[in-house]
Amino acid sequence: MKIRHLFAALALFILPVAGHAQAILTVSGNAADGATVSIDYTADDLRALPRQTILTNNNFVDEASSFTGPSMRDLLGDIVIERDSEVLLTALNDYSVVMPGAHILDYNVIAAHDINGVAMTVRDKGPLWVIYPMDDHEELQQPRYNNYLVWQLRSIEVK
Amino acid sequence: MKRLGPTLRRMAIVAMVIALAGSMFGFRTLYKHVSAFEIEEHYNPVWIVNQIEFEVLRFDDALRAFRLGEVTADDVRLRFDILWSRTGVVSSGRVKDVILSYPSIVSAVKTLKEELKIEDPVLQSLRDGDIATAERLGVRFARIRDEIHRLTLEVLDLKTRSDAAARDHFEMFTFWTRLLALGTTASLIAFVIFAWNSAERARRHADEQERLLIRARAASDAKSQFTSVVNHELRTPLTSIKGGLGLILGGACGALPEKAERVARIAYENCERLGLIINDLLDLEKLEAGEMKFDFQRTSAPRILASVMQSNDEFANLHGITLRLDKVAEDAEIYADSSRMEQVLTNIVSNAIKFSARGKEVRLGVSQCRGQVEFTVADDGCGIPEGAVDSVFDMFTQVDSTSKRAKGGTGLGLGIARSITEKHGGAITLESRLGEGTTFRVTLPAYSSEPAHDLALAETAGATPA
Repeated sequence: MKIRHLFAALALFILPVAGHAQAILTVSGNAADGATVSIDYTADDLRALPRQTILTNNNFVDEASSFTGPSMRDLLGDIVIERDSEVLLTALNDYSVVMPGAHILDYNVIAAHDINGVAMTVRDKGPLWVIYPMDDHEELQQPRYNNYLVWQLRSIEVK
Repeated sequence: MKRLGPTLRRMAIVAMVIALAGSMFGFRTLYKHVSAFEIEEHYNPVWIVNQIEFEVLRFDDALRAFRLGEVTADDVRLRFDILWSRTGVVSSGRVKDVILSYPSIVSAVKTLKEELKIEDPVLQSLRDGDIATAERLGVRFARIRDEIHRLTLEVLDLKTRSDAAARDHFEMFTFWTRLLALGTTASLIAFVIFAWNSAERARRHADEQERLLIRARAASDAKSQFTSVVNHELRTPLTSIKGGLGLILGGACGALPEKAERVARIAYENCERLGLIINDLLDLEKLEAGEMKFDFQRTSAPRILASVMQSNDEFANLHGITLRLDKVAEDAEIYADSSRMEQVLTNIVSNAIKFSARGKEVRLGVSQCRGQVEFTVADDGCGIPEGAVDSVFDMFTQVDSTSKRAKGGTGLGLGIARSITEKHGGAITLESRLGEGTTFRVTLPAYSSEPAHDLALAETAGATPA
């Protein structure tokens, strides 16, 4: 049954309970040799990656906040990204948006897991929120860039 | 619109500035409205409410699936958390600002949050297979679902109305923007016309100046030509006529009958007068053109005076006038072109002779006082009326216009004399009593050993000191 499959998939993204390290993010795409690559990250995996902190404002917070998490470039690992690549970002509630590969190459875009030093839960746009360094680049302050700030990020697919 | 007044031009400029400022203000306001509109479109209240309704439905669906044993209690909790996060999204950032103008959404979100808080402990303690709790939650959330759906319809209606208002707003702005753009364009056209007009005027002015310059050059050429004509075409034959008459009168052609001699003498005298007039005219032309050359020399003033006496002696005799030398400062020296100074004094002396009655005398003198050398020529003639004293030096002027014919002359003499004296750094003055006589005074700086003085004088006169 369709609904059953959906929930089976959703179950993968529930915050890991002690002893049950479950993947919360899946990153997929092609490596330089053309092989398909798919990486599953648990919350611990993500926290083990180099951290970036961005202090910025956006349309969904009341004031400039400090966001911490791995950069998108680091998340991609061996997956090749070009300027004209299409990066499909999908959220837990099935919201999805296609981000141009150039954004990842030009800006330090991160998948934040902490806001102001506190881990984000599903109730608070967590566990992962795509953040652009908007305050550092004037051009990123155009309203349309807010469309790429996907919260409750579930998967990244590079096409 | 040949020439627009400066006031009108200023008004047009002010109008243009106002129109431009208005347009900028209009565009800025329009931009702000468009931005606000864009944000509202982006975070459309209908979309916000739809998202909430969608998550309520999905949670409701999860409860149903749970009751059927298709999903676990964790699956239901995840749906509950996602629904919870929805209420958080509408309570912060720009989305919060947008829904503030929709009190029904604010109130519904508040109610939903409270409901979620109440049911949170129930959800957290939900165990797999607890159908009874799931059913109770289902009933409760069915009511919430209906309320949210009603809210969706209400917001949709509100949004439709606000869109219509926004459209009206935009239409008004478009109208004003068009009007201002029109004003700006009109001002710009006016400005271009002004600029064109002023350029055209400047061009006409330049043309006129060029035309005047050409005319002035032509006039100057004509004058030079006239001088040349006077010099060669008049004076040369006159000299030959005068020479011929002189020979005839001198008896070169034998003795003349008395009548013929009288006629020949009149002709000879007239030739002489004509020669003088031509000389005057040439001098005048040279003075005006600044081309008169002076040969400045250290000169004895009494010697100049003696020379003048000598050359006017015959003329004085002819008029029955005695020339008498008055006081003479023997050692007075001037720095002058002696022949030109003689010309000046001769002119004054000959005037004195002409305007004195037969048997009278003309007294000449030269004195030196405080660095000035003064020549005086005094007569007991008819005198000059008080009002006419100033005009005797004007060119082509004789006090009594009838006297011009009686006494002869061009009326240029005194004017030329004054110009020549001024070129020497001096001045001519006169004192006159009507019916008693006139005294002319020609004052010149005494010769100085200081070279600077003489050099300056020479420069004034346009000649190099010898």
